[in-house]
Amino acid sequence: MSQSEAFEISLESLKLGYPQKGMSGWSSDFEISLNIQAPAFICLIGPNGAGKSTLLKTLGGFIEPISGKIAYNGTNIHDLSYKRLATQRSFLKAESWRPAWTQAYDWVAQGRSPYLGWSGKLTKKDHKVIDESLELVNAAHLKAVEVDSCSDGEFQRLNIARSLSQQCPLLLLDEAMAHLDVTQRVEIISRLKDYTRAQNRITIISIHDLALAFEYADQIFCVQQPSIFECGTADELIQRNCISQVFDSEAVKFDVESGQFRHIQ
Amino acid sequence: MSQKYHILTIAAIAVGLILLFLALLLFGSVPLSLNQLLNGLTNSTESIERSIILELRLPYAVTAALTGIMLGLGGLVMQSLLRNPLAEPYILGLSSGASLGIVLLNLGMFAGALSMQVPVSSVVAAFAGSMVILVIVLSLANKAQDTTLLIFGLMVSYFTYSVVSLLVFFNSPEALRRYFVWSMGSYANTTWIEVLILTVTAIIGVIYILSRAKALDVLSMGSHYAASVGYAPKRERWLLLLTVALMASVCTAYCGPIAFLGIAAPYLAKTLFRTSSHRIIIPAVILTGSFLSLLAGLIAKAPWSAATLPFNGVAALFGAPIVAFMLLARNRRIL
Repeated sequence: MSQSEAFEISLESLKLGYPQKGMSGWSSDFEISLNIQAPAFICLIGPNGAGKSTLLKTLGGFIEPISGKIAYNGTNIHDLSYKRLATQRSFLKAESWRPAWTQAYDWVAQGRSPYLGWSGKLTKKDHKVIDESLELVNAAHLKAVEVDSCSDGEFQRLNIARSLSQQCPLLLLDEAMAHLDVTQRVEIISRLKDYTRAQNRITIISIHDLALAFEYADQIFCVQQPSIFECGTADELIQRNCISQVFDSEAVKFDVESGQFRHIQ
Repeated sequence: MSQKYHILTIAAIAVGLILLFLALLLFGSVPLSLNQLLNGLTNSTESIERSIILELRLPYAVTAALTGIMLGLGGLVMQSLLRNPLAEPYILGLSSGASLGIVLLNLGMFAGALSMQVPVSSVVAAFAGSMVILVIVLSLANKAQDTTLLIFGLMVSYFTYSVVSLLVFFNSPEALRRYFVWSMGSYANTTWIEVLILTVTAIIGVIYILSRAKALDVLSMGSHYAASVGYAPKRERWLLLLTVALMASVCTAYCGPIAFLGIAAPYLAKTLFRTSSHRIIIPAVILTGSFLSLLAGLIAKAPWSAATLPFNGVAALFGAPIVAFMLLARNRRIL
């Protein structure tokens, strides 16, 4: 895989949310302004319903921000076509539907769609990219398996491979590790990090496993809509008490000393 | 699945297609020999054989093949778009709209406007009815998700059928009979003009759907995913649905609401070729669709007797067990 060129995302007073429609919809109080430069491995944390998916979808251009703008390499993504966006960012949705009669290899090969002609014929280079992507998530042996007979964890790895095979400078992964077993989780997150660095990319992954996030992330985005958005290294966030602010409940508190959550009687 | 297996399967279906087509030309209330067929086709002098072949059997066979292709492809596209293996071309209210058109026509409402012969005007009415219902469904449910669109289409369909049932119920016995005959489906009512229109529609449909093979691959993985790899999901969906609507309403207008093919042909193609890649499955559906349609068309002609059976009456009777058997035999994992 070739190393991609310099890539940066800039967010300018970005307000997240969904347009108000009756009872649904929300808008963040915070405005995000920051620059992310490749390479960066970013973990996005926050409780359920905190707006992690909304942030990822907004960054990928799938939903319009309430206000503010997002630019890839200086170009407002609002001005980029579907075709152009498809080579800039890949996005893995948290849940995914599995069709029948689809072999894992063909599933992963869909990631090459933006680069193929109408017939969808794969070139030698496409095959190479697909093989490498499968390799990276330990799924090379699954090639000929049909996706609806894979386990949830295997399917999730195939989905990560599909995103990787799209070879975009920005990789957005929504809860991509949720079904993986402990060993796979550690192995794949560390490989993703190495990959991000080696290929000079930006990876933003939302994740519930804080220990993994603290261990591997270059930066952590900590979000709790509508009021909290913090970013920094794990240590910074802990020192600034962000983790407690976002996650603590009546009964469960984050203990800064041990870096663990504890149930309080 | 190996390439050799694919080629063998294609060859087998192709041979079957040729045999069926030939059988449709030879068998009927007046059985013809191969010699008579060749004579009738090549000899330009007027003869009973020649007019049977050119005016009855050839249009019937071509109609059967084209309808099978169009309804099969329509089913495939609907299944991929709505991500539901039970979707078929009529799912969004097409056939109920066509029925409504026919019934209104028989009530004499448009008699003044369409003072043509019954076959031609019923064609126009059915087509208009289908299009009206489709446009209503598409414009009202334009922003809806897959499942919402499907259920909305079904509701419109049920509603229209209710109206149709009531209209038919309070109608003259003659109108009721005509409606009933039309609703049973038949390939026997087409002349060369209708065959020409069917052919043009089929060519447009096949070319457009083939050109969207890649888009269909990613759309069947979800509109979100389609958008992420560079396809505008709404635009793709609209154009594909319109293509299906066009094909299905022309078929419905000329042959009645043909059930079964829209689900059976894609299923058979997918089971035989074990893939969901549209680059392979679209040509496969063209083969299985025309095969099943010709087979059912042959049985409906009841070559052993002078009678012609209603298409919808025999298609599933013979077709459903075949498709079910194929599914069970090929699917080691029975869901």
